[in-house]
Amino acid sequence: MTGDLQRTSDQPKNLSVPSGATSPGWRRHLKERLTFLAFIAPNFILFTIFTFWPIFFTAYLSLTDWNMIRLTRKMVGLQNYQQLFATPLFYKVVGITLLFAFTTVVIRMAISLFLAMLLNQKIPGRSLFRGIIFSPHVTTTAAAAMVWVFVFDSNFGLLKWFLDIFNIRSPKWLSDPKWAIWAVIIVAIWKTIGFSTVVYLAGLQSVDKELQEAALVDGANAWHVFRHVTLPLLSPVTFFLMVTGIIGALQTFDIVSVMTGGGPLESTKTYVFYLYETAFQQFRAGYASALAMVFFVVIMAVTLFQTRMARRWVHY
Amino acid sequence: MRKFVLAMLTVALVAGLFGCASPQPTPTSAPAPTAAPGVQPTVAPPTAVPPTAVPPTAAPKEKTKIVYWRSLASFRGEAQDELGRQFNASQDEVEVEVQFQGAYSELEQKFLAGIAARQVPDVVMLCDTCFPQFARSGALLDIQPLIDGPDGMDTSEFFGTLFKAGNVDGVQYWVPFATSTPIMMYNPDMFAKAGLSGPPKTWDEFFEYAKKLTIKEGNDIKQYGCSSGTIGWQWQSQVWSQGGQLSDENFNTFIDSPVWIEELSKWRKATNVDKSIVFPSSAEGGSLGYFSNGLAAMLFTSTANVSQVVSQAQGFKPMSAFMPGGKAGLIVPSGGSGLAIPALAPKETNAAAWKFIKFMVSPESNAYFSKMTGYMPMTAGTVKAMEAFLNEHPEQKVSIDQMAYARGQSELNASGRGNSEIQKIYERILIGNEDPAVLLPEAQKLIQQIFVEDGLKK
Repeated sequence: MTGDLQRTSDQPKNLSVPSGATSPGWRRHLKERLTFLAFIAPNFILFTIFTFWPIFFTAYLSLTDWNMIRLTRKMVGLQNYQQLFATPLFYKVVGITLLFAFTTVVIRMAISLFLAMLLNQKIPGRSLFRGIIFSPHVTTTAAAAMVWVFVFDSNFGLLKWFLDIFNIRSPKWLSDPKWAIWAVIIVAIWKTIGFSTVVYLAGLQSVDKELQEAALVDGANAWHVFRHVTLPLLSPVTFFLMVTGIIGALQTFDIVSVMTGGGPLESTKTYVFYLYETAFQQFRAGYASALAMVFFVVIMAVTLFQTRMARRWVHY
Repeated sequence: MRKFVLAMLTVALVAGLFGCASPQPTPTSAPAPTAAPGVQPTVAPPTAVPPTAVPPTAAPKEKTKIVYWRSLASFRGEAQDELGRQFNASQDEVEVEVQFQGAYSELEQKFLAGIAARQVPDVVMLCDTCFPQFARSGALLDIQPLIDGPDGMDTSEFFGTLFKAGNVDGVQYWVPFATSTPIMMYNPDMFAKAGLSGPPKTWDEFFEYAKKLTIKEGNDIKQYGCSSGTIGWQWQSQVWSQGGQLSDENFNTFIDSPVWIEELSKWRKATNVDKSIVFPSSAEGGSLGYFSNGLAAMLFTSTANVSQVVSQAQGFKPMSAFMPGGKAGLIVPSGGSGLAIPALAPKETNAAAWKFIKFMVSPESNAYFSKMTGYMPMTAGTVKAMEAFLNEHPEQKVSIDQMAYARGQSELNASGRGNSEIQKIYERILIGNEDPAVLLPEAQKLIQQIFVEDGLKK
């Protein structure tokens, strides 16, 4: 603030002295700017090294043909992008990834909102249930996925045993192209439900009780209170969970890698797994970088779109 | 509420930052000791150990230290660790440190990263289909001068084409170390119940037996004739034995040839119509799991897995047999991994690395490794050194006898990308039930195009 005031009072002086570098006002600004730079430097340097630089380098690699071993990279212009958009597998992978992301996020949010409402009641053993529901979030994904592999085993698995009770034939969860993606979706939902539940629970507890009571007094039934009071008040939480959830789901790799390896018949090949396979099994760094750049733009666009849409339904 | 969301987003960002940073060993471990030197007792020892370990051993003469990156887990890895110890005890010039770097593909990725970071081991294990790519890109050392040098090696000792497999475009880069061939194992009890007296001798017999050995109960299949993994390796045997070709040395492929279409149609029928062959995902225990749990009567596996299959079998004693033959007799591909010296390894350690490689493939080491793992003896000297052992383990003898029919892997598998594309083709036919007559001509075009793009085919 003082800086702003200073600037206005300094202005005439600046006009009279052409070399602005020597003016005290400029010097004060310089000092301020340096302080500002010093404050953001630690974060900015880390971001530059670990985020910005890799992005620029990936952009550059996407224009080359390189197998990661040769010392020279051949510039090929936009060839990788042309090839990518002409590959049917690319569209298949995008389809699988969208199906996966959309299904997991929607189902997860519905279930976790429901669980959060339950856990918000005064029921005995509430903290125990909260702990149990949160526990998948703190387990290692790879380890959890391994355990689920045993659950899904179509000959000796827990799920087969369970389905046998109802005389339902267990599908070959992980070796049937029709079922494998659902097995992965189930695990992804299970893994992330604890986190969304806790966030929803926190949201529910910060909802102003008076508003709900006022609605009840006005003659609204429980459903109306939920639909027109609670849900709109939770919209910022819903928005947060949706944005982070969709980004996370689009980037899914570990569950697929452990459970299916992208198979059978590429039915569970998510985008990031496809990217990994292209880079580290086929050694096509250029093509994989082009995939990464497209993905970067898509995630950015999806997030911007959601933020834009949020203005219509998120109430702060 | 806005504050709350902002806070949560910040938390997510920070978590994301740490999540991204944690796999990088340097940024997370480096600041820790400076930030809290006293609180990090677990971090300190690893950095402190090497200096303390050096002085006692650094007696009159300094040993050359080399690092060996190995693959192969459990007993296959322990046998290599033991060979490393034996090597260190056998002489006092070189000291090797054996480091496990994961499965073949993981090791390959770490080696890639190592090349990029100019941090490579002095000796590296690479599988026979992985190393040519590194060799062609200049990542491996030409070892011919070492073979011909004062501390040379008599390479004529190796059986058949084993040693020649390490030659790419006329230059030797690789020495075979862990070699195996595909082999068939079967459940004799199930064969007896189906009225079959022995293993199938030909591929046609194999498909017929598989059907006979399959037991259905309504829509459920109680017992499969055969459980199989990806067919790439054994497929080479089938094509060759039936008189066909996969590829030639100029990287021309024969994927759309009649033998391919005919033989893959048999697989397609067996898996989709007869349902006599199953391809269990590795998550479901893979083909080996199905076989050892009594869900399948036959299994194609590696000779290196024989002892494991025998020990895992539930309630029966598996037998091993030659691969089925065909019109052209019996031909099997050899496969496995060997040792190479990275081109980026310091020149001063090359001689020491070579000394270690020579030790690893010597008849004594080869015999030890073979006994412990089931990988093949690679020279006549090794077979002699193993005579007593083989008399006690007849199931291992089949593998050695089959070695007489072995030939190096086809060039078809020499490109990582080509390899992964051809695997998809097999999958689409076997699991996806697509028609080979339609798919294979497409595949032929695709693979040839990849070989041109990879600079393999002129």
